[in-house]
Amino acid sequence: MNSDNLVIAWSGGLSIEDFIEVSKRGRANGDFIMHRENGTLVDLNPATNRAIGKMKATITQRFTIQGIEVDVECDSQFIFFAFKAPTSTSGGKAVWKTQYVKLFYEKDKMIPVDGVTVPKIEKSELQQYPMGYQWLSVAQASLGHKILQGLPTLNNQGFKDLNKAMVDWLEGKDVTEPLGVPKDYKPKFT
Amino acid sequence: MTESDLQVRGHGTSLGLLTPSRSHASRITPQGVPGFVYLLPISVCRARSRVFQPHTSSDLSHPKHVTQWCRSLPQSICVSIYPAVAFNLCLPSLQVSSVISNFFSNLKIQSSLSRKPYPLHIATYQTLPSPNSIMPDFYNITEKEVQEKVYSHINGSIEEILDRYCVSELCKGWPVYRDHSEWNNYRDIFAEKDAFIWTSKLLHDNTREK
Repeated sequence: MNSDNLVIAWSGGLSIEDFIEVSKRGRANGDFIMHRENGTLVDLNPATNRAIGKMKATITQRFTIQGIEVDVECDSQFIFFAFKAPTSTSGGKAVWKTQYVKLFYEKDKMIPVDGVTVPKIEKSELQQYPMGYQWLSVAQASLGHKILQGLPTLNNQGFKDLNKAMVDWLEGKDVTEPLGVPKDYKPKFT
Repeated sequence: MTESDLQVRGHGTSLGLLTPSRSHASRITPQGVPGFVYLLPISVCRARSRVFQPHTSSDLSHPKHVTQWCRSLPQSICVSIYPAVAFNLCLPSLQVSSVISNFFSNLKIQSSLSRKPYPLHIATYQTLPSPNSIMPDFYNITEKEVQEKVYSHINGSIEEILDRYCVSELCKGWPVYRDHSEWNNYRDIFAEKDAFIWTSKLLHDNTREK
């Protein structure tokens, strides 16, 4: 499968298997993405054996833009939809696993690596993307990538939808629709 | 007025819906303008003269008081422009006025259902000072409670604490395992079947062959 087909196929989430494969390929191609965990708390509902993990984290990615090395840092909150149940290898014991992960993109910025030199980024270019991951989007777009619009930020519909899905999950409800779990998902790398 | 959601367009860019039942402020970005302005319906019925004055920055992004004023078919609309801080910083005031004038001269109002022009015109508009904040308010989170129900999140029984700790381990597995290519450990934090992840393209669209 070539990359063009893959980009078109991504209208939303990826399966964990595909995500790992894409992550491997990205790294092999030089993508330099790190994460800085800033703190984690969990909401637990023992009655449904479900939990929401809330991990504050900063996504950091190194870019070279206009010949200048920069880090783009995006403060975010990772939301883990977790459940407790036996697995095929747990010997009947209930264990915690993650079903879904979606993020709130809180705010981002671009930092010159040498502390001085910054690339010229037009405001009109930034404004094409939601506040919360604008710089990340522009930097990614400079590599020729399409950027997902409408991801949860701190003040958009995605914010409301994700918050509602979190409570619904804790209450034992199905959240495939509000989260946008792809129907009839076909693996991208088979 | 039940079916008459109004879509305001300028320069071919959708500026959001002015709805009688669900009012809201819209973030608009006129082409070529290095900033943002707010378009906020303050009164959609000429017979009523009350003017909606937002008291807090959150009222701008979540206005909620217009509904009761919108029970009859509006003939005209009065809007307020709140140039965001970024907008004011980028342009001198005279230029802001000019940009807004040009912006309104290019406004077209149409029904969002039929896509036909709607017989409503902008009667007046005014510019108001930006909210006194260092950031445009649509950038910030609401000050209102986001999660009404309180779940087990601190303290509790030993079982609850251990359960929460196990989930926090799942979370921490993302940065620790993924950043260091520990793919087996990383896969292990997810469900065996139907686990899905949503990220921006930054994490997963670089599939170019070497």
